[in-house]
Amino acid sequence: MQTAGANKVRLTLKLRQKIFHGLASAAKAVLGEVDLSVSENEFVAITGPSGCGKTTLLNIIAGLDTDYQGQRLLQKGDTDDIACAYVFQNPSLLAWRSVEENIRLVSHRQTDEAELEQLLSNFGLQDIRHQYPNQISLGMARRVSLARAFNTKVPLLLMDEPFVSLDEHSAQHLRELLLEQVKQRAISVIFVTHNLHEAIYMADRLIIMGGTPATIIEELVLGDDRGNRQEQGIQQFKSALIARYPTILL
Amino acid sequence: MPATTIMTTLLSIISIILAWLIGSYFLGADLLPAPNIVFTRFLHEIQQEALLFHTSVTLGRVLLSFVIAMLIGIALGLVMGSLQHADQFLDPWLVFFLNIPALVVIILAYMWLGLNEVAAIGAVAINKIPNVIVTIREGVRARDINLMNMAKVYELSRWKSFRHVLLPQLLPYLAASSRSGISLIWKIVLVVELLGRSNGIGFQLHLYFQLFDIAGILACALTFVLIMQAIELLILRPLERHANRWR
Repeated sequence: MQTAGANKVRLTLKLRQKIFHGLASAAKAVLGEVDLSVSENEFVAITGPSGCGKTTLLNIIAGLDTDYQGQRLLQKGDTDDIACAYVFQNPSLLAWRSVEENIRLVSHRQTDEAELEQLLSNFGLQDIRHQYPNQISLGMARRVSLARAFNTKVPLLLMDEPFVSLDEHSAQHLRELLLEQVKQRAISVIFVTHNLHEAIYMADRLIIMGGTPATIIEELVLGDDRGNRQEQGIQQFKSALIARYPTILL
Repeated sequence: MPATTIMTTLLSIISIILAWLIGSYFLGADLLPAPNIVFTRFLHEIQQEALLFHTSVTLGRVLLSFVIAMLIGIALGLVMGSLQHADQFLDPWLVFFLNIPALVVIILAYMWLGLNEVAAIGAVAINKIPNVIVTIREGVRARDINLMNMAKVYELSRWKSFRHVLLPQLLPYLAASSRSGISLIWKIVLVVELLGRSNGIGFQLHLYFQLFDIAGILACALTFVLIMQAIELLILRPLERHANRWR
């Protein structure tokens, strides 16, 4: 388990409130106080009921949503290209650029061809590198979106349900791929998911959000054995959590 | 192209010629000369240097006012589509220019600037710019927010983001406004020439009008229809196909 004191802090968020101004409806507070800090190399999973504002929280962290009260600080190292990469729920690929061009696009430095080959091969994309996004499956598109995130030198990776609507086999393959790549590059991750099993399998720390406006209702440290947890242990942990928060997690 | 499509197109063209023949029969050859007469006249005219000269002058004006209208229209469309305050400020201006009659702009331009090339081309461009703005603004507003967010998070440079993310999304809108632009512009150019220029197809038409030379007028029109069709087939369609190759 990583503690905030021992390592460099990648993200400090002190959110006081996020109000959503609907066009027709009255203003509504979606997020309440959320204090979140993520250290170097840490994998944080966030879960909670749908519509509780998890994506909004990621957008605030990413700097896409600036209409909130509070402070946010992303720590970018000297060798980093950008402060954070984001794997959106929708793969968000340019339909008019090939798989390879989509990945190349985000690079902030002269492309190292050998490195790019390695990246394509890590994500199993060599065979479809010249195809266009609408010619490949959703699973493949998600891989491209992941590979794109890894084509930048970045300290923090945000992920919004990146493996949803994939069959379990491909999802599991991508989870392993993600854990391996994240470990190799010492990237911190904030991973939003509905899949409690997935969260317990991958994360160092699990955050449960809920309520209106949504806040952190529980924070659990899972340990430093991410990716290596026994199936039985995961199931037990999951059942215990659901028993404790039936309305939020079911 | 499949054989049935070619057949349908052919039948359509034959029906136009037939309708023309019948009309010519009832109205008389003075009011509506038969297709073969107009065609002979057309062949005769294109062998004269005069038609070639007037056509090239008109095409030059069409091209120049098209380029000016597109450049200004695209720039303003981008600004109005992406900046809300600019849109609010400029919108009344846009509505004003959208609704001012082409003829009023042309006459005022000639009265203010004199009967010269600047007034002619400026007047044509001003008539087209509002339409380009409306189309491009629509395109910018319909842009995919997910992709724009992607460009923002990955901190793509302004140019990269425009070139690879926004511009490809605008291509259908650009194609639409180019196509409607070129056909609107050449019609207005003829009016401008008729009113205040001493060359070009519009001027030539004015001459034929005074001579009551209907065959000459139709031959001129035929020249222009053929040229516009050639531009459509040889330039616009291939460009569009190239832009849509990823679909």
